[in-house]
Amino acid sequence: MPKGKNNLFVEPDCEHNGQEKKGCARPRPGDVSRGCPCAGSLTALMPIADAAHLVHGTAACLESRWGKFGDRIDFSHLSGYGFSTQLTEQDMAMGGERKLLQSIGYIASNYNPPAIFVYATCITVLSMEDLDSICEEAEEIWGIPVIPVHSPGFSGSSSNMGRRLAGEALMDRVIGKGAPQQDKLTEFDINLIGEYHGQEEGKSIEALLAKAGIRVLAKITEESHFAEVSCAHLAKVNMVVCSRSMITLARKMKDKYDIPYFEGSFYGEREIRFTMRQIGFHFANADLDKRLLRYIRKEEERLRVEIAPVRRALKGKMVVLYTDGLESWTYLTMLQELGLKIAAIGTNRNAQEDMSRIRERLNEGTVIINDCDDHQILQVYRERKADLMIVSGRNEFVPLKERIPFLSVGWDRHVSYAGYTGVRNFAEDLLGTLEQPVWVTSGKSAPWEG
Amino acid sequence: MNPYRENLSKPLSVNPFRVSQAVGGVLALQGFFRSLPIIYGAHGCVEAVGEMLSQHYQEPIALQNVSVHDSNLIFGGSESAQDALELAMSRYKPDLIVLIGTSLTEMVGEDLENDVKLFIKKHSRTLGNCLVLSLQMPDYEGSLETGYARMTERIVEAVVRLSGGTNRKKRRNRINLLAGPHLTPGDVMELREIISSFGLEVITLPDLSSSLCGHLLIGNTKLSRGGVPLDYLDKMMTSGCTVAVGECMEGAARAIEQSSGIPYHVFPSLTGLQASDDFFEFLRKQSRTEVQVKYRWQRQILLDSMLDARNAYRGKRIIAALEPDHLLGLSGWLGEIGVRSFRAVSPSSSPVLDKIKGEVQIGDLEDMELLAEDGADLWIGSSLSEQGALRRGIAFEPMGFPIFNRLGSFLTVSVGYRGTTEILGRIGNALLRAERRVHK
Repeated sequence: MPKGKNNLFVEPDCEHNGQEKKGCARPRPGDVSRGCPCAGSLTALMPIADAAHLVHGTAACLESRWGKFGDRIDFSHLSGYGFSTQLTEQDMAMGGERKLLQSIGYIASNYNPPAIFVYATCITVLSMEDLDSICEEAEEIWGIPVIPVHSPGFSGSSSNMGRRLAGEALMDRVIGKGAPQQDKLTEFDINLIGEYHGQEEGKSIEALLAKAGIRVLAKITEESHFAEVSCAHLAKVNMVVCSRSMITLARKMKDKYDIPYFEGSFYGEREIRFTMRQIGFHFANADLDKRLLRYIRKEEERLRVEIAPVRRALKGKMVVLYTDGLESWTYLTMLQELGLKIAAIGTNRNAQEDMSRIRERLNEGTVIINDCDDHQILQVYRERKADLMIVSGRNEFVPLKERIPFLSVGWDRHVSYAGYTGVRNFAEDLLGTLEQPVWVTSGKSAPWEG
Repeated sequence: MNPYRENLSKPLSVNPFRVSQAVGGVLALQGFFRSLPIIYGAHGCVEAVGEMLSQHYQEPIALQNVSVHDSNLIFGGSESAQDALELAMSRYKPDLIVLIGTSLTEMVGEDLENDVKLFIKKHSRTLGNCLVLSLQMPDYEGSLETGYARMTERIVEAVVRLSGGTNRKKRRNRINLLAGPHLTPGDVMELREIISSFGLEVITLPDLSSSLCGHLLIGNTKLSRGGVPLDYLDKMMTSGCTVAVGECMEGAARAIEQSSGIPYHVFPSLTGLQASDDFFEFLRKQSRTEVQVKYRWQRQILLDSMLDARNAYRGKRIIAALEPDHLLGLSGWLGEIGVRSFRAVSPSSSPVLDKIKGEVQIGDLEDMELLAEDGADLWIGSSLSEQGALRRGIAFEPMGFPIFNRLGSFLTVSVGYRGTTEILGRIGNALLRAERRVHK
């Protein structure tokens, strides 16, 4: 790894690191649109709920990124607010540094947050504004941490890059800065790092761990407080949940604070068992091991009894996945455990690790289509006579317009699929979707169409 | 235009609800059959625009991108733009492509017009009837409304240029309907029906009523479905008159008048009894046909509903955060039903704001919350503003863009007698609900 350089393309803990580097591919235009790094950073850090998040750019840079989750976020928190410097043409010509400083001041004196995150955008990078020094100046004036996040829209080809850069900002400026509250620490403190869906998901994972006697110290980042995240260095173990976007953060915490990390997932019985065992391994405590095993056995037995009827109904059904990123592999174990057959997976924007994970979770006979387009997935769905499609993100209109039964596992779903409760929810949603009469109705023609 | 209204002491925007021009431009293009907007900006810009529109309309949005990378910013992105245009052309064969510039391309000085010119020159043989245009839509100025209007104007100008001569024979019984962005697909459908009931043929542009109303006709496609077909637009130049709904659409109407001498008539809004009366009277004269019995009934029903609703509205203070044209229509109608006060925040300036009956300022949703502090019975705005209403404990009625977490908002109707009756009930019920909560 090159020294002294903040190189996020070289991560020693990544699978592809040993391989020969390919040159940068020229970005291709076209229909596969990718996320914005700045939006990725915002999504990653906005759950730090009591902090203010200020986007330094034009109107559209914040536009679709705030106030989105409706009734699922407690809007008394500051992160429910959207702050934007909304640069005008004049600002861009004359420089927006002064405006930024004033904006930070406005937030500091009107909203009193414990910290302010300031996000760079394409525009402010192009106009070569010195975000770092303005933040430093603001910090001196108002006496709270003002943290620059350098993730302009063209800095990478996906929101994943934004999450990594958010991780960098946390590592540099937040983690380790919190006042140690030793008296409040417990024996089994763990951090959860990674991207998981919405508030529900984080809560159900936290509840699951609590039942087994493990305390989640900081969620990076799920709805949490600034003070919590700044004390993350006091945990004993880090768990990277379902994503590698913040693996660099975990690795750096290992290097700096000697906190070991592991990767795990909470989707499906087998994954939960594996994750819990890893936690046990890292804490190396006989008592905890016993407790974990007892807990797993009890929950698994209960789950099996409870979902037996659903499993019978789902058995042998054929499913096709048309998903992006981590959704492509997280649900595979659960689907198999419920007795469904996976006919095909169409993926886009997947990292090499995601692909490995798909392969290690699959039986033979599944078609994997990389860089999949709508036409291909519809063709394979029909050829293999599948019963159901699972989609995420913007793919959800593909089965909808073709009147194919589908379940959307994207950001907008309402229940958690994580943990044992999550398996129950997922099973019920699958069966409920298949049983909806609208699939039959929508296939029928009108009486006058003959 | 009206800088004195703005709070100039505030350096930033807190909880902004201004929607950028590009969203408006892309929205307008959904109202043209088999069209494809291509956004020339960083890849994230496209995703944000598409996501917002999809969430509101619950429909896929035809949209592609030129992926701008850091190297493009240094060496110029002309090549990438050519690639994007070529890909769109060879894969989908759209009827209409518009290359939309963003603040990013504006800032580095990309010459979109030249890109398009180059492309057309290179592909003149295979292009067929496909219309390729470009338009700069930086997000540091204007809003959804101006974006939508500018895009419509751009296409009208192109059609005018293609159609050539001005002395073509006019057909009195054909009307051009320029539907503003504050109209839902449901509204546009209602207007088409009303106009048709007078025996008039109507050409709607942009026509969202057949593209974003939620139909399953075409199956999965990457192009816009429904909307007005391009070859139909040529007939626009021989219509008897043009009706623009929303003052922002006047520019496009004027462009048609200047080139073909077709007179135009602007209706700022078609919500309310007076506005509907004016519209029906206009159509009656234009078509020399009488108003159908159906609509006479609808007028009766509206009047009766207004009488029924008088207590629900009396003495009420209403605040709203909407785009200028939408505000104008709403304020006119609320004045007619007799609310006590109407105060509003607009995301951008417009000459229209001076005509609004009530207090208006340019600002964001923080300003809206300040308005709420002085007391209000109902808060009207997009879903983005809902959290503010919740925080202040004020009854909320969704209107404008975007609206999410609600079903069928794009099919609501608020124009004509029937639509006014519908909105009268919706707002009235929200007021009554709030009252019940107070007395509990």
